[in-house]
Amino acid sequence: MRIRQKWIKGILTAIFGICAVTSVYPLLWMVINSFKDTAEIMTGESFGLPHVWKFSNYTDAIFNRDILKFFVNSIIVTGFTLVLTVTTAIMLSYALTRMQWKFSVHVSKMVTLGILLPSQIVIVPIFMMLREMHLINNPLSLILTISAFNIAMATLMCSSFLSGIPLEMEEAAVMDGAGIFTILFRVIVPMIKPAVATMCINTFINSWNEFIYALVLISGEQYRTLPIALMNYSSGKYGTDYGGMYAAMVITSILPVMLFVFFSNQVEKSFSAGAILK
Amino acid sequence: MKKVLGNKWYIFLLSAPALILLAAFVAYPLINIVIMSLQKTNGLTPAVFVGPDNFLQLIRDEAFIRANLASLGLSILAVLCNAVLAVIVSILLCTLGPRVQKILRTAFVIPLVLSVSVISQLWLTIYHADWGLLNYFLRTIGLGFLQNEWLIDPRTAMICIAVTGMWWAFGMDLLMAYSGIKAIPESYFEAAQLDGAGFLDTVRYITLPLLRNVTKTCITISAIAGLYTFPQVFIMTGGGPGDLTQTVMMYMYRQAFANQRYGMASAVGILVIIETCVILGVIGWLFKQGKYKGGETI
Repeated sequence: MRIRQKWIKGILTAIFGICAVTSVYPLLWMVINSFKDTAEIMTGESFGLPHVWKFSNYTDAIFNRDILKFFVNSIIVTGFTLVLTVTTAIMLSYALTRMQWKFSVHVSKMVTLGILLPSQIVIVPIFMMLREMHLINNPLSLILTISAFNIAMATLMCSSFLSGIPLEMEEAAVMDGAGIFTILFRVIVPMIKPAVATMCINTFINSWNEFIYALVLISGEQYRTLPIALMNYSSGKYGTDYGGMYAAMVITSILPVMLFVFFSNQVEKSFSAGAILK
Repeated sequence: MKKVLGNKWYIFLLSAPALILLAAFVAYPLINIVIMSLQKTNGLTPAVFVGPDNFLQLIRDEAFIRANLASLGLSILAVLCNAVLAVIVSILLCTLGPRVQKILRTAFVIPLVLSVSVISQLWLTIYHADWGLLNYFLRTIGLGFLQNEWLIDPRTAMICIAVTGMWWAFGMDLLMAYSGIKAIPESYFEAAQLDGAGFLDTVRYITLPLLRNVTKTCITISAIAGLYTFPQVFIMTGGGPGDLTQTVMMYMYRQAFANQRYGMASAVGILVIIETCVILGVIGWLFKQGKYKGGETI
């Protein structure tokens, strides 16, 4: 598809350029502000670099504001969620696409239905259930919940990839007397690496950024994850340490952004994977 | 081979972990929310069955109606400004050079990988009346008279919430629409060009009809995301000024975790699920309509 007129192209590029700047500049502003002194931020001279680079915003966040602890909490929750979601989803999608059983069609339809339902709608019954199990304020509750809500999507991504893989390798493996788990994790997983990457990225971003369940299920300071811990700044717990707030925001964002910088194609794929739904 | 793939024990082993999780955290809560919506419970004393009382109270509650309208408004805005705009932008984007495409796509997608918590905190300060980026920008370009206390002014608070969500989620729709266009074989466009079709004709008769399903997905996802807006409101305004920016999810959260009226909150959940189904139905119906009309013209 082409537009021939040069001037239309020029105008389009210019308009999109402005939009792109609007899209990126606030993030740049966040990073720059994280090096500014709070007093300088509050003068309202918002453009431009800091007069004095204040790196202590970061050291302060790490040593005085427990950001490191929240970071570790986030890593733990995300790590376990990632492993749990991806393994169970690979197993389920293998059972659904390859194996012959009566209800496989029904099950895969139900799994697909689960995707359309936004997770926060059932937050009240989940909260009550976990409270009865005394799992509130326990990272395990967060791990299980986030996993459950990511399995459906991951299974779908994996299934659509798996159905395009020929059976021969598995047949050879069966001839050699391999068991089902050897087949799955030694033969299949290496072949569906791209799908696994997409699943991992999708699950990572979702669980790292999880807000509402982290807010409700983790009540104490001890196990808080980064997105919730950030609210200490806006709720006034740390007064008006805006410089420190921006530093904490940058720390929260650093892993997802790095992921995007290094694997931009896979990240884009994992986001547009939603389009395969219908 | 049959022996392995038909082995009941293997099937059970492989599907059980995921299905147990799905049953415990998706299916069971869905059943439970129906039961809870018919009960009065504060979580401490035993639940009392009250029938449709919660629902009757809800539809008479003005705050709930307003919250619903706010959410529906956000949903419609998200459809127009995210889904529809994203389709238009991605069509135009595809006419530019490959490197420009890559740069612009990256710029639009970056906000998407960030936590909504970061986004909301960031925009909270962008809207800040005294030293926020927005007011400073307006002053700099000589539009100082437009300066505002964005999140406090009742006229602008809701729009500000909507803009934050759009800015965050635009990349999602863009990526879906963009990959949808890239999936159309180049030869279709070449054939159209050989037949002398201009750009607009190509879009009208080739791109849009082939992009129908992707557009539907974009609209569906944006509509639902708009309806369920919560973190932005929770962080940026807390529902204020007054309860002007209170969305249904915010209302539900307050009922459950501020007022401990879990039964009432479940009833809100049920109504929102019904609403979601209606919206999905309407979108499906609209696209069906368009299909027959499109069929006649071609």
